Amino acid sequence: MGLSDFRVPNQMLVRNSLSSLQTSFARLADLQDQAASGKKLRKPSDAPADIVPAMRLHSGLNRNDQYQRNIEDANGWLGAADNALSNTVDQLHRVRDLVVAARNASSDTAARQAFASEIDSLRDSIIGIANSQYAGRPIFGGTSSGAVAYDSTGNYVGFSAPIERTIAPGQRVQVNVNGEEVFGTTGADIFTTLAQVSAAIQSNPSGLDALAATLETQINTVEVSQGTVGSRFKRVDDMKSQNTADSLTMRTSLTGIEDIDLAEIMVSLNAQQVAYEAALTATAKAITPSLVDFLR
Amino acid sequence: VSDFAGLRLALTALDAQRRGVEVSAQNVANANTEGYSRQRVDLESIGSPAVPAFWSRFEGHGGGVKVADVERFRDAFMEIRAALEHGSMASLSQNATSMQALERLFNEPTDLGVAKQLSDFWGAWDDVANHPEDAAARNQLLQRAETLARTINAISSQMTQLQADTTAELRGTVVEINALSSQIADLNRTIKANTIAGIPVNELLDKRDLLANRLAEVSGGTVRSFEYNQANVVLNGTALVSSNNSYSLEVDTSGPSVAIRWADTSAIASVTSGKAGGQLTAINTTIPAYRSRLDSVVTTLRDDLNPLHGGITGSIASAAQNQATSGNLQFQMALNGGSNATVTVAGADWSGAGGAAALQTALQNAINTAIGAGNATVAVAGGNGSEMTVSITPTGTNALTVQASGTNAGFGLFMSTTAVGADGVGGRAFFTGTDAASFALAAHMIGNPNAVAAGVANGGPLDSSRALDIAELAQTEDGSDALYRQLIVQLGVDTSTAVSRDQIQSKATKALDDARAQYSGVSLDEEMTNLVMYQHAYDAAARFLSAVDEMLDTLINRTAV
Repeated sequence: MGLSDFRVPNQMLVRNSLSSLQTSFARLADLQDQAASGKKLRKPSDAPADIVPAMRLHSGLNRNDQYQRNIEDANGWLGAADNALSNTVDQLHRVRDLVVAARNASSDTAARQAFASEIDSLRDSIIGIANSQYAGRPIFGGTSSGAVAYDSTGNYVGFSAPIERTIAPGQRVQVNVNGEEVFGTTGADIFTTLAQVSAAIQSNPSGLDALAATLETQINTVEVSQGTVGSRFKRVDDMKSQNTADSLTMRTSLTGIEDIDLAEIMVSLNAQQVAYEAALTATAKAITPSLVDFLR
Repeated sequence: VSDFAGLRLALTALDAQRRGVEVSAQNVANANTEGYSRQRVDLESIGSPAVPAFWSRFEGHGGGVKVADVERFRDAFMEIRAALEHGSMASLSQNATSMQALERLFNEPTDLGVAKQLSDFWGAWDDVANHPEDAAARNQLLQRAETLARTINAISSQMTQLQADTTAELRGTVVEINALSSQIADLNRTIKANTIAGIPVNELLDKRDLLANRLAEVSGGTVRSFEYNQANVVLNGTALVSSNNSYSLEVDTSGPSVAIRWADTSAIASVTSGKAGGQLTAINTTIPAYRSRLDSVVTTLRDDLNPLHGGITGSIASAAQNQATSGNLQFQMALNGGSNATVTVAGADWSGAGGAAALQTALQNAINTAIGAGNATVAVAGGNGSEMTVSITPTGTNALTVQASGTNAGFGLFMSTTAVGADGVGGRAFFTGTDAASFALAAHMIGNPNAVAAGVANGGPLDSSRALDIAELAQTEDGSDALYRQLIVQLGVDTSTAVSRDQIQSKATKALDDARAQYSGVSLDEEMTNLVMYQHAYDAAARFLSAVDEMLDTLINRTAV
């Protein structure tokens, strides 16, 4: 073929110029789209290797936000329980002091009457505390739908069952303590004991020793519950900061995968614009002349 | 040698150079005509007689010039390769188009995609778990479930639409194939006749080749040259165009997959490349593959969720297996949305060996009495010192619901782990449907927030332990979310592969087109040069003619007067 190897027919010149202009323009359009959307991962085929981590991070973040809501809720339940239990313990310590005082006191009826009525009012107050609510639900009432865990006479009316919250993948924490676990099972609960103590102070001081021992065990149970709630509270609190840290890490990774580096894109965009304009100029110069222009 | 030989010689030169100018003019005129191949006059000098007469001597010179042929610049091998490459480019480009269309359907990764909606859906279960007493949380859950189902339905119906659109395009392609085939056959007939008659056929050949290349591109066929300048087009061994005959194709959509058949024999035409091949692949392979992946996402979701939400099960601890003193144990059961029937089992001691079998028989009989035999199957396992499990499975497409019978302990005992709604009813499936198109929130759930079963039968009124279990399905390694992510990854990989294969093929095809253009295309500079060359030769021949004229004038008019 010899010389014909170097032939550049006009149609070919036009087609090639057109195709390189289109390629250049497509690149420019893509960069403009990236700059406008702020994302470099706009569809799965943009970076198939990145799409899994991106989707995982998206759903992970979503899920983490949900865990955060669960944690807030768990915090509320446990905070209310912690508060109620420490008030209860304070009141029970006062009861313990009163019982000791009553055992050592004179047989003066009026004085005993005073001890008994203070214990009665402490009992009412502890029943009030045992009916503490969080978000409209009695915190010691289990899964009961009623408004109280104990009725006014100190009978348990709740439904003992654990209430749990998921605070991290696969991690559940019980956010309630059942009244029966804290205050004792119906019939052998602290309210019965307190009523008996009140009655014994007035009419049967010799029975106080046995009752004091029972009371001591029951106070101990409440304190143990307080400890349990405290440690769960701590666990939830730790998880809360862990959750926040996780979200931050995930958001950072997601930004790295999905978002553009604005400075880099702007530089590329400018470079591509210059390249496109250069291609336009070159095409305009190359297509115009042929020998026709120079023959007379 | 004749005195007038010089005149004739000059005439041949004038003729030949004029032909040269005319051919250049034809080239220039067709510089932008698609499929045109440049032409060139083949000049040949007229020499002395090849075989002089016997004993004779030839003392003359050459007899001038003649136009041997007007050559058409076309490389047959390059043309065949180009047809193949164009066929596979059309197929790959169709493939890339289909993949990009599929990719757009899924809307990932955006907030409108299924991934986000799945995630919202699971989140809604957590909200129900946190506030089982709150109707708003249940309503929100149902709304998100419906949104999720509708989004998946929409993707499914868009896939069906894409398949239908591509089938319509395929019909168009086949119409084009048939039209091209018959045009090529007609041109072959004319070309053969003209070739035999010695009439120039260059322009007809260009037109025919253009059509043949287009046919190869749309059908994936191969072009083969045939006698008398004819061209045949062959589709995987079977002739689409053979000499002046063409064979038409038709689209058959009657079967489970779309096929292209020969119109005359109804045999399946093997179309694997070209635009038609690409369209067939999209219709029969690519789109169905993604549809079945989406189907498995929804069936997994349904099969993971429904047993937790609507399964009728119970577990009886060893300590509770002796019910000899309990009297009648009862619960309510309703078949297919009918009214409740009371199932009554007389309490007995099921704690020993054979206790499970005895309870199974007792429960089965009681259920048969209540709702009729053959509607549900009871299975009891375990017992004799360990926990006993009870499950009740409705037969076939039956739907069963169960609930407590007043304050009787039967429900809490036998169906302790059955999820129940806020209305105390258990056994309701959450999702229905067998594929992405029919996937939906079950009818008894729609607009019925109390039917959302957050707790279990013996968990107390505001139990939400089941909602917690369901919310954690989001994390299952082979659950619907994971399957969906795999689908999207595959979609990304397939699309980017299809696009880059298309780009690579289009580069290869372009290089080949350039090579063809280099050989066959018209260069204006070259034609101008030729024009000048022939023009000067013409001028010189004319000058020679007048020289001979003057010589003759001298001889005739000035001698011996």
